[in-house]
This record gives sequence, C-alpha cells and structure tokens, in this order.
Amino acid sequence: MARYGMVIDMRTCVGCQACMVACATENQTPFWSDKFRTHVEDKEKGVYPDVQRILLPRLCMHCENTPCLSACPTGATSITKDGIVLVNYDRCIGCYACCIACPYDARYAYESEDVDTEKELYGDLSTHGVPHVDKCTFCEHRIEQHREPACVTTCPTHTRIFGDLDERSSAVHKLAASGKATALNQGLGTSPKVFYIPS
Amino acid sequence: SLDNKSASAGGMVLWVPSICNFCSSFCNINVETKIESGVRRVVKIEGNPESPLNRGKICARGQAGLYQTYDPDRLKQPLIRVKGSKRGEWSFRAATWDEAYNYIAGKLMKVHPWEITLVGGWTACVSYMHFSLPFIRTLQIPNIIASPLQHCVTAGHFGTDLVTGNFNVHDEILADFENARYILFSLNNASVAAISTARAVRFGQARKNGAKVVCLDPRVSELASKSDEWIPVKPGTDHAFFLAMLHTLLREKLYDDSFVSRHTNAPFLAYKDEKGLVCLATDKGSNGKPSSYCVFDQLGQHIVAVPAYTNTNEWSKGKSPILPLLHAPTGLVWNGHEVKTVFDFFIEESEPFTPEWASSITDIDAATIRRIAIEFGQARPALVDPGWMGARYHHLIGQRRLQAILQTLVGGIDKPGGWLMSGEYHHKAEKFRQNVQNGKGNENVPPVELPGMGFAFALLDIFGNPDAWEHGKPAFSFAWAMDQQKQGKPSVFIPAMADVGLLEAVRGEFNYKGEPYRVKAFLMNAANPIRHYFPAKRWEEILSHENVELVVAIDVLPSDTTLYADVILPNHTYLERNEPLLYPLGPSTDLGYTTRLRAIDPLYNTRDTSDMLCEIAERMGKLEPFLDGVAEYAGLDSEMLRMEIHAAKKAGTPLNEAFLKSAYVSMGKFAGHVRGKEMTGSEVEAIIRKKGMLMLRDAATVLKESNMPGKIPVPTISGRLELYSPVLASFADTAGVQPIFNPVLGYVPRVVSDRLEKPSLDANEFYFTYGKVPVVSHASTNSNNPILASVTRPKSGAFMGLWMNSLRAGELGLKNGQTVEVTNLRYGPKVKAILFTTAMIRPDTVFLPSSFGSRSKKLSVAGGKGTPLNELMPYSIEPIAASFMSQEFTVSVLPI
Repeated sequence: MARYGMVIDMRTCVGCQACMVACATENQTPFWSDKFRTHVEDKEKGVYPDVQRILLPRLCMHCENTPCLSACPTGATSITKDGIVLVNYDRCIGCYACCIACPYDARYAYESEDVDTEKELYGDLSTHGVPHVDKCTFCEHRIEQHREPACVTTCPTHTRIFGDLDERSSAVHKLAASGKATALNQGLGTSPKVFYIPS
Repeated sequence: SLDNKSASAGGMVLWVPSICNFCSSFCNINVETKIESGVRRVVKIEGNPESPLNRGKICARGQAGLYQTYDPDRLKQPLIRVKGSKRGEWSFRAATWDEAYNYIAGKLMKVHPWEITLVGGWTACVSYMHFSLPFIRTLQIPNIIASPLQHCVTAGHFGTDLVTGNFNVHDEILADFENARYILFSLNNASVAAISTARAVRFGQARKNGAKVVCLDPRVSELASKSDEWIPVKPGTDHAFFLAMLHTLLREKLYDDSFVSRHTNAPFLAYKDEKGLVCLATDKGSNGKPSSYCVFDQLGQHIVAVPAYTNTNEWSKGKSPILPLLHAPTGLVWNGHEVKTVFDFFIEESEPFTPEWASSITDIDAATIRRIAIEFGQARPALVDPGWMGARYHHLIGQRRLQAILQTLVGGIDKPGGWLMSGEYHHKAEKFRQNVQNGKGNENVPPVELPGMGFAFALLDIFGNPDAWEHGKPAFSFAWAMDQQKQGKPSVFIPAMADVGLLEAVRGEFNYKGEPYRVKAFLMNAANPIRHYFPAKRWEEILSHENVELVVAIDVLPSDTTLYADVILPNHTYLERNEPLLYPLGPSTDLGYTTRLRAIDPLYNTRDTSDMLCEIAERMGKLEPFLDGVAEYAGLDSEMLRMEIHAAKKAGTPLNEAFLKSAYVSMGKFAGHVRGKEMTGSEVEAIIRKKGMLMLRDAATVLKESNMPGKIPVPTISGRLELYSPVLASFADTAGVQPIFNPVLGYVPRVVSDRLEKPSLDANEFYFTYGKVPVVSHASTNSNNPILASVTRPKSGAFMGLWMNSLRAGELGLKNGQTVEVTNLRYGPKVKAILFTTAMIRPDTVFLPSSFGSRSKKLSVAGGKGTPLNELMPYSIEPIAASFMSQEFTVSVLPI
C-alpha cells in the first residue's frame, strides 16, 4: 500500500506543455476537443515592470477528503488502496455531479463524439470506448509497470516529482514534510496529494 | 530501464530507439509501437533515458511526433506538376518514382551544373551533410543554400566561433547550467525554455541548485519568467550592456588572470598600423600565415616568440618556460612598432563603454549594469548563455563574440559550470592536432572531419574558390559578393550557403567574369525557404520565375514551399526510416554515436533522401563517384559500400540500409581506435538497437583528456581562445576600419529607421521583436500537428498573438483579442495579427510569435492560422555572413 502524490516545483516550469502532450498520447485523451487531464495555466500578476508570469501546472489533486467521490451517485468514482482517485467508465452515467463538486476543475466529459474520434484514431488500441467523466489517474497503469506517470517522465525541467508520500526516503515525502511544498486551497479541507513549491 | 519488449493489453509492445526531428537539437527518443489490426503502429514517444543529452526527457513537439506520421495531409506518392499549370497553384498528378527521377534527371542534364542549387533545411544539415557535399562535388554543383544559416544560426554562432574556434554541424555550445552559480541570458528564449530539451534539462537543474538567473529580454518570455532578475532591456541594445560589463570586469580586475594569460591571445603583442587597425606582432611563415606570435615574458623581462599553433602561452617557441604578461611595459617596441598587449588594447578601447554610457542606450540603470557585471565576475563558475538563433541585428555577430569574450575572461571554457564543447568536436580537434604533430598535415582530411573553424575554412575553399570546380565557377553567392566588391557596392565577406545574388541569378541580371551566371534548377530537401527566408515575396518570385526550369521538393508535408515544386518526392517521416549513417550525439560532451531506426513500416509510397540522391546521381551517370564521395566523407569502406549498394539494388531494398550497414562496420573499427577494442558491425548494431546509442567516451573523460584549451588547442588560427579576432582584422583590412570589423571592440548600434535617429518613437510606433514559442519550431510545418495545435489554443493569445503592453494598447484604443494591422514603417509590408495585451512587455515594444502563418491550404490544421512573420520582413542582410537583420525596423499597429 502506498500513498501516491506529486510535488510540482514551480521554480522550474517553463510552460512548454510537454506534460499535456505526454498525457494526451499516453491516455488517449480528447485533444481533438481541446480537453486535457493536465494543463499549465499561464497568468500574469502586477503592472509593468513589476510583473510576474506565473506558470502553474494543474491536474487532479487526488484528494484524501474527496468531494468528487461524495458527489458521485453511482459509485463510479473510487479511491484505490494506493490513494489514486479513479473513475470506472462503465459505472459512470455522465451526470457531471463530480465535475461540479471538484474545486480544482480537474474533470471533464469524454463524450460520445470523443469516443468516435478515439476509435478512428486508435482503432483496436482505444482505451476509453464509452462516454464517461475523465480525469488524471496518475497513470496507474504505468505505476503497475514501475514507471512514473507520463507527465513526470517527460517533464524537461524536472518540475513534476512523483512518489509515495508515506515512503520516508522519497523526494515527495521530504518536500511535503519540510513545508517547502504546500497544497493548493488548503482551507477547503480536501487534503490534496499534489503539492507546490512556489517559484 | 525498460526491456525492449513487454506484453500489454494492446498486444506486444516494441520500443524502437530513434532521434527526434522536431528541431535540430538531436534528442534521443524511444518510440513505443503496438500491433493494431495486424499492423504495427506508433502509440507513444518518450525521451531515451540512456541519452546524456536529453536524459529521458522530451518536449511537447517531440511527444507529438507520431501525429506527423499519421497526418492525413502527408505527401503520399511522387507528384509531378500538371502541364500548363503554374507553380504555387498546387496542380499535381501522381507519378511513379521512375517517372519522377527521369523527369528530374532530364531537366538537370539540360542545364549547366552551376545553374543548379541544393536547398537544405535542418534535417539536411544535421543528417545529410555527408550526402549533400559529395553529391554536389560529384555533379559539379557549386551551390547549396542551407536554411539553418542566414535566418538562424550563422549570426547566432559565428560570433562565439570567432573566439572559441567552434564551427561544426552542431556548433551549438552546451552551456553547463547545472554546475554554474550565476547564469546570464540575452536574446535567447528559443533554445532553453522554448525549447531545446537538452538545454532545458540542465536549466531546470540549475534552478533547483539555486543558481542565480538573470535574463535580458524586452518581455517576460518563458525563460524570463524563470529568472531571479528580469531585465527589460530596450530591444537590440544588449550589445551595449555587454560592452559595459566588459568595461567593468576589466576595471574591477574580475577576470581569471592565469587562464587569460595562458590560454588566450590576450598577452600577444600588437600595434596599430597606419590605417588605425590593431595588428598582431607576428612572424609570417613561407605560406603567409603566422609562424609565431610575441608576448612579453615577465621572467626574462623581454619579448619572446611563442608558437603559432598551440593551446598555451607557457612555453616560448624555443621551449623555455615563460610567464607572459597581460600588460606590456610602456614604450615597448617590436620591429619599429610601438607595441602593447591585446589585453591593453581591450582596456584602452573599452574606456568609453561605461555603465552610464550603456544605461542611456539600454534603458537600464547604470548601477544595475555595474552590479550585474560585478556579480558575474565574482560568482564562479559564472556563465553567460552563448545564445542560439541570432539573425536580428547588424551587430549580432559582434554581440555573441562579446559574450564569448566575457565567458573566456572568467575562465569558463570547457570547464564545469561553463561552456562545454561536444565530444565529437573534441575528437576531431585531437585528431587534427595529432596530424599537425606527426607532420602528416590535414590537407587530405575531408572538410566534415576537420574541427571547428577548420571545417568553415575548408567549406569556404570549396564554395568560394573558382579553382575548386572543373567549370571554374564558385557558388553564385560568392560570385555575387566578388562582383559587388569589384563594383564598390555593399557586399558580404562569407556568404557561405547564403541566398545573396540568387534573385539576380534567377532574373538573369548578373555576370561572373563577363559571362552570365544563372540559376535554373532547385533541389530542395526538407527546406521551406518561403517561410524560413525573408521576405516571402522574394522566394515566391524566385521559385515561380519563368527562367527556372526545375523545382524539386523532398518533404513529408505540403509546406508553403512544396506548392512551388514541379516534382515532389515524398519522404518517409523520421519514424518510418532508418537513417543511412551514424551521427554524433548532437552537442553532447560525451563521445557517442546514434541513429534513427525505423519504428514502423512506411505508411505510403515514400522513400529516403539517400535513396533519392543515389537515383538522381545514377541517372546522371555518376553513381559510383557519388558513392565513393559518401564513403570518403562518412568514413565508410568504399568497396563494402559498393557491394552493399549493389546487393540492395538487386534485392530491391532501400539503399539507405546499405549505407547504414556499412556505417555499423566502420563504427566498429572507429570504436577500436578510440577504446582499443574493435567491434563487429553486428555488435554495433545490437547496441544501437538496444540502447539507441554507442557510447565511446564519457563527458568527464573527454573533458579531462582533451580539454580545450587546457590540453589541446582550440581550432582558431592560433589555437588559443581569440579575444583579438584575426578573422575580423582581415575584413577590416579589406573594408576599412569600421566598428563592425574591429578585431578588438566596436559598438554597432542597431538601426531601426532610415530617418536620422530620433530621440523617441511616434505615438503609434513600436520596436519590433519576434521569437519562438515552445510548441512549434520556427516557421515549421509542425504547426500542422493537431495535438500541438490543441495545446496552443488555450494560450493562443500568448503563443500566437501580437504582444503589446496593456497601457499602450489602452492609449491607442486597442483591445485584447482584436485584429490589427501591423505595418513595417521602414520597409512597407503589412500583416494582420490578433492583439495580445499584457503587462509583460516594454511599452515601446511589440512581440510576434514566429512559428505560425502558413499560407498552404494543403495544411488543414496550420494553413491560414496566425501571422506570417515572413511577409512583414525586408530583405536586409549584414556584411559578414549575410544573416538577416530581421528586427531593424519599427512598426505601427492600427485597428482593422
């Protein structure tokens, strides 16, 4: 049993979007409808010349206190023993209650048109197959093969660090425990497992 | 690391190592393939973790590569333009390969060889140089236009090359960010944050290590957003900033005294001649080249001759230990000339370039400039990023040279935390030195095997030398330059692989030695000059001109340029082909070799470039000498190559595999030479298949054993790092002593207007800047990639729009997202753009992402999207290498 989590080091993110493309190709997410499991916000703060460009990678926070799970009427959303929040495609009825409940806007609808396009693009290799609400899985299928999530593997500037938060020797544990990395919107009480080192 | 094969839900997974082709960085990748409906297809691309260059990482473009292979817009079979149609209209009919080759050969036979030119993009440059050069030598074609030069790296690299001697297929210097304590960037977002993965991995680590990052940029680029200090410099004035840094470093004595006196030409004695040109005190050998230089020895207190080509000034020519001084005693005389050291001249000539002087030009506080100079001088290792693309201003070569001088002054060349040279480059330099030492000479070494500037000079001796050709005609660009010079008109010193004179040659407007010099046929490989070169109109006129009898385009997608072809030869995409040779690991400091292996069978009726060149050479009756040429350039066994080619032809298999097979065998021998133990070709192949590369020597060993200049000479004229530039001096000797050719220091202001320099801009007038964004390579067809287009859309303002300061936009009544007309106030052209208003840019500057604006309707994703930068540009070049001066104008921005 692990407690998987991610630390995002905002000191190094250059907004290159490699994570988005890695995720989309790994997980066959509907880029053709401009929908992604992860993205990088690009915001500005301040007035010239005292202005900052803030590049903020976003994804599912895999909360421990999970509003999406509470909102799901069919039990489609669940948490694995390793703390990964997943959607069962077959049980999901597409009511979007979870999308509304998620304070991090981390879910989107994989619609029937998207399923059609997926079939056209990937044929027998399609992995979604039915309409459902879709979200980041921490690339659970890769973790099983002892590989990191696709976004982590590819990030050119080592912005994303992945591991077991309970494993005392892991980088994510150390960063989260040291207080250098903190969760977004802590006041919500969702206990996210994604932490940010501010730039 | 992964096993190559593993079972998974989608069937058997096979990982195939390859090299990314979405920019010239040469990142190593692994391509994941699975079988779908009985057909193997690419499902994913990842960085190759074995790679010392990109370390298992790969950017968005590299990740998206499979969608180029599966792009429905691809060129799927050979095409010949329909009779009676015009170039640019896209009116083609399908043809067989034989028909296409015969058409091409038929046309080529009707023109003189000098009336043909090759045009190559970065693929042609980094992967096919060993084919293009023998091809033109064999067929006596003296012309290559190389797209990475004029609009990109000539200006970006040549300045640093003048100091370090580097000039190579990959002469990008690998900046060792992660071991530096202080990093200074200027005029470069492209190769770090926007993005060359090889550099981004090192930069990310540097940030984690706590290096201080300072970034000069008129806007908050991706890179500037990751700096500790963003310096919003006035566009095009970084040159003045660096001059003031140099002024400060020299006066605060914040240089590495021992490194500079040992390994540079700073202690060389020099004098001013009657023209006012600073000249080195040298003895000339019988060949007219320096046979020794002079320094002032502190031990003996007299002038001592030091060897002409060596890495250190610690020994006199007579092999006595000496201690050369950086400052000569006053009144020192040599051969009747009053002499000082080069270093003294630097101090003297940098006198006016005070931080206060630079402040008035750059719009940065003098105190800030002074502080940064001192921080840079005190923090070791300090690193000034060498830059990448640079075709923007008159002075860019001078500015990049200055950056190399600063890096040299702090001793940061070929050292951790400084500028590292590539493994292959070290190897060539070592071989070159051994040949000199053994008295063997380097005359018979093919140019591609010569290190650094040796390679550059060898190329000049081919393209610029009438005697190198049976027909006595040099490249049209050199012929044009000579003609201009003769007429006393503005010319270019080294128009190597440039397009100067091309329009005149096509129009029939220029003569060489009294005879017409025409260009009538174009063979283009992975080149898109209509988008890459400036302005679009020039290349549209060239390619559609009635005097042009043949335009061949080798490509994978219907780019803006392929529209103008007579014959289109469809290429495999990089995922469908084996490359014909092995290549060094890009700019990696490790010595290792890699190649692309076919991940899937070609989807369409496409072929590899090496096969195409062989077929054309064969139809011209020159296959055998061409093959011999490739064997010579690529170091292959020519007997074996002939046999393999013969066997492949008989079997009807691709010729590129015959080359690759021969290359594996040669590499096995080469490995024996480097490591003392030969390998068979199959052993080499097996390692490449498993790991994607054959490592021969790691970076630490390379840096220890062939450190340049610590252990061996750098490939400059003197073998030392050249603060004083003999190359510039030779230009000044011809063209007169002007700041741009000053071999010591010269300030060249950027000129943005033909009107006398005004104190301020008009109300609706902006400095123009442009640059790359991380998701598309400059002006490339990879903007047609659907997944890259998709990750661009949420940021289309920043990634595709014209950046303007929000307050200025407000004053002009302009709003975010509105369509505007941008007018080049110096040269006239206008383009449309979507406005992106932001606080992240100087109020006097606009910025345009350069990668969009294709006009090709055949590109269903990219066509018509974004602003065509190439339509706003003038044809304006600088006098050293004909690189474009693409930011030397201002623009107005009006609502539409």
